[in-house]
Amino acid sequence: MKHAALPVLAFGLILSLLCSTLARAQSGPPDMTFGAITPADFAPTAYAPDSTANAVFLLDHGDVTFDGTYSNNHSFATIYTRHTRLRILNKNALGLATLSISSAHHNGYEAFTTDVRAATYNLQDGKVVETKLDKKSIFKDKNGYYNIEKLAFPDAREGSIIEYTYTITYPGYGYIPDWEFQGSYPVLWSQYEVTVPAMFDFSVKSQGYRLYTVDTTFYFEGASFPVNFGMDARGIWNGKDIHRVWAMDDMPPLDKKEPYTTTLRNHIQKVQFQLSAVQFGSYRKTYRTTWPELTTELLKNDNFGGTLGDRNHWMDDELKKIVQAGSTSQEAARKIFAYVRDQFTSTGQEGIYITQPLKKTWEDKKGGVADINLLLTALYKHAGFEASPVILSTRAHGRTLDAFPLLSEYNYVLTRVLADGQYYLLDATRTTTGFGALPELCYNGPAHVIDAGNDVIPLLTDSITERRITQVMLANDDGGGYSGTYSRREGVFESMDTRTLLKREKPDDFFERLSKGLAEYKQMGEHGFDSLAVPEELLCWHYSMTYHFAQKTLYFNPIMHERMSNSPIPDPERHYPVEMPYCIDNNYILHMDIPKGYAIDQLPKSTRFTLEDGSGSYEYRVDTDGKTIDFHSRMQLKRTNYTVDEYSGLRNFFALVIQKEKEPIIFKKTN
Amino acid sequence: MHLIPPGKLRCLLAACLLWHSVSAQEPMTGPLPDSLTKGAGMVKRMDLTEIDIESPRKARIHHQYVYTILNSTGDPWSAISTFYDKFHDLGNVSATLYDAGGKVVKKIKKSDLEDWNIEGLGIFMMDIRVKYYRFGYHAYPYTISFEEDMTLSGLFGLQPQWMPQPSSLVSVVSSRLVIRAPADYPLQYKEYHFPDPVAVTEKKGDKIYSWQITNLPAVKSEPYAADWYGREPRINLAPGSFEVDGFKGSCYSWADLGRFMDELYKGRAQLPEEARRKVHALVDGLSDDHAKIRALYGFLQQNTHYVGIELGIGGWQPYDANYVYTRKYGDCKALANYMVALLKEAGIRGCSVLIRSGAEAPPIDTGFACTQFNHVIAVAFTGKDSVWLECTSSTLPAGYLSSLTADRDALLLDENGAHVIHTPAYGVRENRLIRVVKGSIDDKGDLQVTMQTDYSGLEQDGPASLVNRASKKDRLDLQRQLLGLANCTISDLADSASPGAVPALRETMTVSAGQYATVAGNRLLFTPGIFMRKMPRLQELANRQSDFELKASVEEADSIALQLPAGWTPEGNLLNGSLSSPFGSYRVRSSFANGVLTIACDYRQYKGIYPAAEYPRLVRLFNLAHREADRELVLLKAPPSAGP
Repeated sequence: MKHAALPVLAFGLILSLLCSTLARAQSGPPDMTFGAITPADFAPTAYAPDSTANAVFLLDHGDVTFDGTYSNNHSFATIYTRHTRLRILNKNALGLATLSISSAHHNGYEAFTTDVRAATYNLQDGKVVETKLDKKSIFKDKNGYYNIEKLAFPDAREGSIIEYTYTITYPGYGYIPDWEFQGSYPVLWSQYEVTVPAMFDFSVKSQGYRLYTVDTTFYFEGASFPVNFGMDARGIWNGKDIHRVWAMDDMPPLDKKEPYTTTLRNHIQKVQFQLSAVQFGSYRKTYRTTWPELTTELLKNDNFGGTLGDRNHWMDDELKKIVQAGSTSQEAARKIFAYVRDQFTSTGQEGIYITQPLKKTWEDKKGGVADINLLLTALYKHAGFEASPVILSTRAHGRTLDAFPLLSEYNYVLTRVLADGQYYLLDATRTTTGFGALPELCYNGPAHVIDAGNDVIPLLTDSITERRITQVMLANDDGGGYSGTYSRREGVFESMDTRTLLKREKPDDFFERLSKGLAEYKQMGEHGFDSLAVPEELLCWHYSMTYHFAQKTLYFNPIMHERMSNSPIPDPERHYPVEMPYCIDNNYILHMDIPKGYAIDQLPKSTRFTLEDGSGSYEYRVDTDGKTIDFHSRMQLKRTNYTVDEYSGLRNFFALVIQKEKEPIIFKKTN
Repeated sequence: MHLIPPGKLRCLLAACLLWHSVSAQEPMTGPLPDSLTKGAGMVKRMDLTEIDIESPRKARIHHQYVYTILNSTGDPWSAISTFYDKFHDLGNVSATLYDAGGKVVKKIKKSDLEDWNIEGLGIFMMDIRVKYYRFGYHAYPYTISFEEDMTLSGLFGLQPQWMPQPSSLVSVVSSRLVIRAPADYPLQYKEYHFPDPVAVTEKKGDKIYSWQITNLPAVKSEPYAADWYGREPRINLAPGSFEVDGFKGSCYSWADLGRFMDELYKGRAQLPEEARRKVHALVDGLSDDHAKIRALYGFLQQNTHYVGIELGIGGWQPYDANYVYTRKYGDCKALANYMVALLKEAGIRGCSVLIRSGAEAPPIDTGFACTQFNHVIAVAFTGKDSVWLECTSSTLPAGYLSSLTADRDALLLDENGAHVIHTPAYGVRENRLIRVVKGSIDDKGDLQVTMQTDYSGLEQDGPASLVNRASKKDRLDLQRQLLGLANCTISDLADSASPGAVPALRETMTVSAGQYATVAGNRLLFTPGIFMRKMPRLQELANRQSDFELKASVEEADSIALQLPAGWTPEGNLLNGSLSSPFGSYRVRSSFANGVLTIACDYRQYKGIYPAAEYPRLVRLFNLAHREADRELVLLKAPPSAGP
């Protein structure tokens, strides 16, 4: 299934939608009573959405309700019930016969799982035989912040139907779990229903390539329960319940990730929710529907903006050691940045909130992304700089919709600082990132500055170019031999990658690996890296080499170490658009003497090919004056996003490059 | 054994005590000799394990260490990691991080550790839990000291192995193991590559066993070196008699261990009535025992699957046959036990076999009885034949063990306890890959061939797994990747499997690749090596220290026949070469006749451990194969014949 069109993105408020018409699929929903399995259910050997699937989900039904009379510190609870029925068609899917149900408990917020009911069904002698799951097949496990219920389904084999239902209770209000209508197996009927008292206003964000089979809104009278939002908002709520139902039929499995797909999250059919307002009588509280509101809320949050306040006097002593008090120069900004980047270790944990007090991050010299970059922001502020935190969603985390801020979609924090009249965007979580540079994962669309200015910084992949320059010089030397030098200046991201590699591996090992791949008549001499220890500098490496030619015919390929030999997109089929992380500009220059005792027998022809719209080009130029040869190749890709329709053109482009780069210069011995 | 004169003993003890208290104050910053820092990622300054055996039912362990991490390769040892389960009760745990100057950076206690289950071992539910903490410090060198107390209820799990030098990247200043047990307690032990034997002393009715090793430098890792496990100094321990969860046993011999297992397995092989009927329905019509075994193994594979649930004594005691039959799942020992019950019902003798599974797993030491196993398989006997059965696999044929359990000693649980048995080994005649490629190249460089590959024995494990598990599309993608050809289309992919004690698989396909050969004026260049055996390129190594190991015996024979375009002939040398040695051989021959280029290549290697001095010959062998597979052949177009 090719996704030619952009995903359908729609959002609306629950309240504002009127009762809409039902669009039913031909087959309609299955019987949703637990245990409603008939012998006919075992008849199919394959199912239409994907006839090669190892398992099929016959039903996946989620139901969210509010319990207004839940007694606890939280006066409400959100009850999520899931009911799933699936059929195992092939033993490769027997992994589905074990199930783990997780609920998180963290910081006093405790969700818990109840009412687990599960059974396996098999067809025996034309009758449906049920094997219930007994208590001995349910195990309770724990991992970090999660409680996990583990189920092992008895009597499961090829052809079996497995059915289970469970309830997770989330104390409080304001959280409705996301629902995905697709997974790695086809789903015949996926349905999500949410029943919410009209007092709560939820924004709904839908994403997917198909329209809903069912998309309805009903109103039910008679909701009534006690409410306590503070002194001015207490009493009994009487009003309507809004009941929303979405369903999809015959959903094919999500196509697997392809090269240059950022994340399948951008393509999966799903629905997400965020509380936008609560209204009780004259009491009305709005939440995060606009960026200014979100910003205000984040700045007040103890685990975000609250860390930036001026209670950080313990920073004084350390700051004195790093910079001169009161200086807001670029030099001072660089020093503070380098201090945090080099002295602190990131655990890699993403998220926008701190996981521990700033002081603990300071003492342990380690923390998650938010801990480290919020600490950096606080340090800058304390030293007198204008600095603000910036939030974004990383490439692997999925695209965000700017008009529709869903805080759960943001998972990364950066620091923006003003120094010598210029703004710099900084990430101190990796030792390989220079001042003002950002790792690849940050380039995923708009990043939001969380301060009164509410600036939006577009971090677009089209705006960054990875530039590599390689130079090779070869000459007949005085000693009668043939020798020269190779040197490469890596682009920003390749420099980061190589520096990361060199944390694990020594420079000597790097060059040893290179020399293992050299032709037998080529020898590597002295070698080294330049500015390895300075992340702000592009990384350069070089080596000297000697050649010992003996053959009658020499096949000399001018491109060393960077020939494109495998296509980055080899598959002729493509389902998702191509999303490259940056634009490309690779330059390769070779200048060589014709080796003594040899003459050119064949020189590859100069050529140039381009993408249809000209945004990508490959130039290959060879010239000779009879004594020396000049070679220059340059590949440029000025765009990073390509639609599915443009895929074959891009693939052909790479195939031409691969083909061309195989061509050798052929020398023949003259005597 | 050294006899320590009493006076000296006192001095030694005093020195030990003094050293112990000195180490508590200041071992962290002392300079380390070059001999111990060279090539090391971490230096063990001290490591003391004290085991206090009170009875076969109870022991206490006190463990302390001080590690100095010199660089990033030593970082893994900075992780604080310990565990607890039903039989191991974790007491106090504490750790301290010191910087290069010896200043305390951070102290942690037990409540600071994270609590995790062990997921990712393929086991669904296990009661072993891990307590873990990572300091995340990177200003080298830094030092970590650690201390923990643990109580063992049930000595079966007595720390079976003590390995003072866990990796070749670790150097050791001093590492000690001290075990105190009642004088009549039968502690079993065996030393491997240990410079000094144990020092045993008696004190107030107790025996104290003490081992110490000092000044072990890091060992440079060389390619293809035999496993570190077989070279490092270590001590195997076993509780001569033990009691766990109410079961008593002894461990002086394999037969003893077998008898203990028998206790655990007792009464667990009863099949329910329905299952017994099914067995007879399957086998009563068959006359040949082999056919019966195949039928029952097939029944197991069709109707049950593996789910790993290891809780408490359930780590060694299988769930009974009735459990497996009704639930249709079990872990490796339950499935093996169930298989044995099915065989028994059919009148065939079968046994469970304890084994250490893993393609790279070190062999067990048959000369020392102790728990060295992590898996259970089954074997059926008929006449003089043994039919081996991997009960957790739904795809392996009866009688065949994959590289996970082939060719190793294992413990067969029999009627007298247990005895050592060796699983089938697959050699060069069994593990074969025979490839036949036939087709043509045209004058544009396009390739069109049919390829037929016959895999057998261990060589067919990978391909058979793909046929069973991967989608057709994935298999095509993988095949394209393996050939490494740009612009390649694979069609007519077909396969047929021949199951048996040495299974085989035949795979056929059509491969077309546009511009497989590069056009360079009047020449075509191409690499036939994409269809040949590929070997890595090895560097020469002067003064190699460690013996080298080849882990499998295989033979690969490739034959390629390509019709060249009319008027084109090969230029220069064709592929020709051969080399032979005790551990392997390589031979490639080519010829050109009637417009057809023929290449035949044969590679063989023999499993084994070979002396370090022979390494240059291995380098020559691998590099020859590498070079020939890498070589570019050149075709030259004949110039147009001179006109009249």
